[in-house]
This record gives sequence, C-alpha cells and structure tokens, in this order.
Amino acid sequence: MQFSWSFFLFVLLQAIFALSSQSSKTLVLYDQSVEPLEDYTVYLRDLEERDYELEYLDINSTSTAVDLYDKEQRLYDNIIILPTKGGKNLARHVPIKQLIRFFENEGNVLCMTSPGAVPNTIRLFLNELGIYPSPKGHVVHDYFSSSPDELVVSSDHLLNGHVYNGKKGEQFVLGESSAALLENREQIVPILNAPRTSFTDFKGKGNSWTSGTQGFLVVGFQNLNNARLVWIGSNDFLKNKNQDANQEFAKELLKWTFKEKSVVKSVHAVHSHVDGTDYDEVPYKVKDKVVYSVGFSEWNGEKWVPHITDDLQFELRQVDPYYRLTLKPSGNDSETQYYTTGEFILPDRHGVFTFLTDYRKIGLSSTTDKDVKAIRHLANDEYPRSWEISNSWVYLSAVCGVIVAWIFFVVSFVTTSSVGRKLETFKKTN
Amino acid sequence: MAKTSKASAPKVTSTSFAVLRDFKEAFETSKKAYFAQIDNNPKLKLIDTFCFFLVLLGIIQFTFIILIRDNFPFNAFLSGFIICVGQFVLLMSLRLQLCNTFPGISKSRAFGEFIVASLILHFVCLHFIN
Repeated sequence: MQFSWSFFLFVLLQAIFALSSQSSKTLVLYDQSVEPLEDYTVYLRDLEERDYELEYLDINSTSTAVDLYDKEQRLYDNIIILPTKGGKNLARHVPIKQLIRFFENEGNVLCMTSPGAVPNTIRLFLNELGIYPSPKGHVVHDYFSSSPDELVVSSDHLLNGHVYNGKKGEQFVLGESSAALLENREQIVPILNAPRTSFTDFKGKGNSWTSGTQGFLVVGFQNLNNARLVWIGSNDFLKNKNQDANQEFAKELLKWTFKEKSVVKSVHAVHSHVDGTDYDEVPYKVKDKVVYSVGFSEWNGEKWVPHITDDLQFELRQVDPYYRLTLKPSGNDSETQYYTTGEFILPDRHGVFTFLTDYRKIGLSSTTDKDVKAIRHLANDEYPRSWEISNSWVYLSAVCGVIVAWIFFVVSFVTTSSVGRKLETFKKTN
Repeated sequence: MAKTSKASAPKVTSTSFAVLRDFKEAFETSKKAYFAQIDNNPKLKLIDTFCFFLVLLGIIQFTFIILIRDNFPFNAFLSGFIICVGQFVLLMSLRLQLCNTFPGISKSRAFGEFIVASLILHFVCLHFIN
C-alpha cells in the first residue's frame, strides 16, 4: 500500500514537471477593428489544444497598461501581437521598453505587421534587433508570379531547416505583404525570403524598400537567452482562409517560436584521465592523456530525444584555442546522444584552461558548457632521467669514458718513472 | 700583358714552393722535436694520448648531434662535451707545468691541483647530465 502511494505521488510529480517544462501562459493582443480575432481561430485553437493558456486583450478595450511583470516575476511566457492599427493604443498597453525587457527575460514574441498597419512599438522594437520592416504602405509585388494580386511564395525560399523543412513544390500564400531588410547579426534567423523577381514599393512611386531576395517575409530572432521572436510581414499568412496552403508551415513556425522544437540542451559534460580517474583525484598536468564527453538532447515537443549531429566541436582554450576537436558519437540512451573527443594529449603548456563546447547553430537554441581547470607543469622529479632517454646514452657513455680514462691516467701517471732531468737536458741542448 | 703573366707565373710558383718547403722543413723539425720530447718523457706521452682520446670523444658526440639533427637531451650533450673540453684544458695546464714549472709551485702540487680540479669537473658533469 505504501509503495503504491509513493508510486502514485511519483507519477503525479512527473506529470507536473512534464507540464511545467512546456511554457504555456500566453498573452494575445489583438485589434478587433482591424483584424477580427475570428480570422485566426485555427492556430489559436491549435495552441489551446497543446495546453497553452491564452489570455486575450483587445488593445482598444482598456486604457491601462498590461502588467507583463509582477515585480520581478514575469507573468507571461509568450506574447502574440496580432495585426493592430492603433499605434498609440498598443504603445500604451505594451511600452517598447517593457517589450524589450520581456524579450530579454526569455519571453517569446510573435508579431505581425502588414502594409496597412505598422505600429511604432513593433517597428522600433524590431529595429532594435536589426530587422527593418518596410514602412506603412509599402507592398511586396511580384509581377512575374502566376498570381500578381497576392503574393505566393514557393518552399524554395525557405531558409532554415530547423524552423521548417519544406516539401518540394509547396506554396505559401502571403497575400498583401511587407518585407524587411536585415542587419548582419548572428542572432537573426532568416526564415522566408522574397522571390527574386519581387520588389517592395510605395503606391507605384518607384521608391522601393527592398528588391529581389534582399527582402525577407518571415524573420526569426533568437537572443542570447534563447528567447525567440518571429516577425511575419503579412496579415494573411496566419488567417483561417489560407490554412490549406500555410497550415503545416505556420504550425511549425509557431512551435519554433514558442520553443517546442529545435531546442537543444547539453548534459553531462565531463572530462577525465583516459583511465577514468577524475580531475579531483589526480589533477591534470601537461601532456596527460584525457578524454572529454558531453551529451546532447533535443526537445521534440513532448520529450527529450537524442540530438544527432556531426558538427559539434570541443575547444580547449587558454585565451586561444589549443585544441578544436570535432566530437564523435559515442553512445546514446533514450534521451541523450553522447559525444566524445576520444583521447587527446593536453598541450605542453601549464596554466588555467577552459574545457568548452559552445554550440551555436542558426535556428537551434544555443548551449554552452564551460569548465575551467588548472593544468600544472611537471614537478622536478617527474622529468625522465638521462638514462631513460636513448639519445643521451651516447653522452652518458662519453662522460663515463672520460672518468674511467682519467682514473686509468692518474694511476699510470703516478706509476711511471719521473724523467724531469732528461727533459731539462733536452731543453738545454735545444 | 701575356709576357708579364708568363714571367710572373713561374715566379709565384717558385716562391710558393719555397714557402711550402720552408713550412715542410719547420713541420718536420717540430715533429721531430715533439717526438723526441715525448719519447724522453713517458708522462707527457701519457698526457697527449689522453688528450687525443678526449678530442676523439668530442668529435664523436658532435657528429652524433649533427647526424640525428636533434639536440633533445641538450643538457646531456653539454655535459658530455664539456667534460671532454674541460678535461683537455686541465691536462694542458698540467702539461705546461710539467715542461716548465711555474715559480713557487712544485710539480707534485700541480698534479694535486689537477686531481682536485678534475674531480670537481666530473662531479659537476655527472650531476648536470641528469
């Protein structure tokens, strides 16, 4: 009986942790006067089915600001900003500083703008991140496509397989769309770019914002805390009426934004001597043989699964990397794929070294494993003695030879008769 | 031009021959004197044999280090080479004093000093090699 109770408790705790590992509390800001909430129900319902707790707020309804924080406690995990027109209303509800702070504190953001509505809050916020959406009124045109009225983009323009791995020949309907210019930043994740024959201009006045593949229609951003932001340049992309074309991509995009996929963690980063002795037992010294291993897991939306890749690198660095080794798979269990460097010899240099795996791939969450350890030099009695080095046998035998010869010399010198007189006479005669 | 060169060529050879002959003569005399000296004094002969042995050892070690193109146990090489050089120098100073005693220092005292200096040298080299 006791056992079954504890088992039940265990299962309950497991369930609680499983739930809490998935971020769920989400604030949805919308503007009923621009785009009614009913147009987006497919994806919102889909989120709710996956245990997201959605909280809706019409930005025209109340005049006070939304509390994103209770003191230091972040109240929401995600924010969805559906297309809004009233820039001032949005700014009053979610001031840009609040939004930046929210994003810095690991909150995820999904936002949309469209040629008809580019609220200042979102534009300035995106500009901070190096994303420059086209201003109000700028529309992406592609007169070479089969449907010039609304923008349709094929899956060839998908740029990141970690966000969505599109099938050949898929078409995404974006309707009336704006495009963004991007800064050159490591954190930006370009997701969908505009066709080669497209351009963005303002009411045919020839004042274009982007041309060709320079423009981006869907852009992600992942900050150093692994919080994610996705900006979609079109109102129509997530609308119910386009769900036949966009559904798969949009669902994966939402999953990526709210960290349900492409989330990687590293576990059990350990290093030891080759024979398994720990650093704590026997500290490393120069030229020791050591081995480093680390495990990687990937969140697939429900559980952690082994993350399999061949581009992991390990670094042993003291200011500069002394080693940069590609990790090889060594084994796995149900959750984790383990990687190892194999055995390697520590450099002939003592000092404080960092054992580091810094895994940063665009589209995947980044992980850093760092262990700082001192590597000592050899003690004075740890160098090999001369007779252990075969080269020095020549010199050693020379020294012994000289000494033996010297003893022999001294003995014979003493025993030979003195002949000083003869020498002098010889000198005189000379 | 040709004349002068013709005239000068035999001249040069004749002088060089003369120099060579003089040198040969001098070399022969000194060789004779030297062998006479060591034949008369077996102790000097002993010293010179030892010196020759040391030079040989030094050359062997140096050739070795050139052949393997690596001076890895450099301290070992230094100590092996220096014991040869040092012993050679000590022997030379002993030899000088045997041939021509320094004022105030007897031959036996010179020999005693030689032994002490050699022992110090061996001690240092044996420790330096390890």
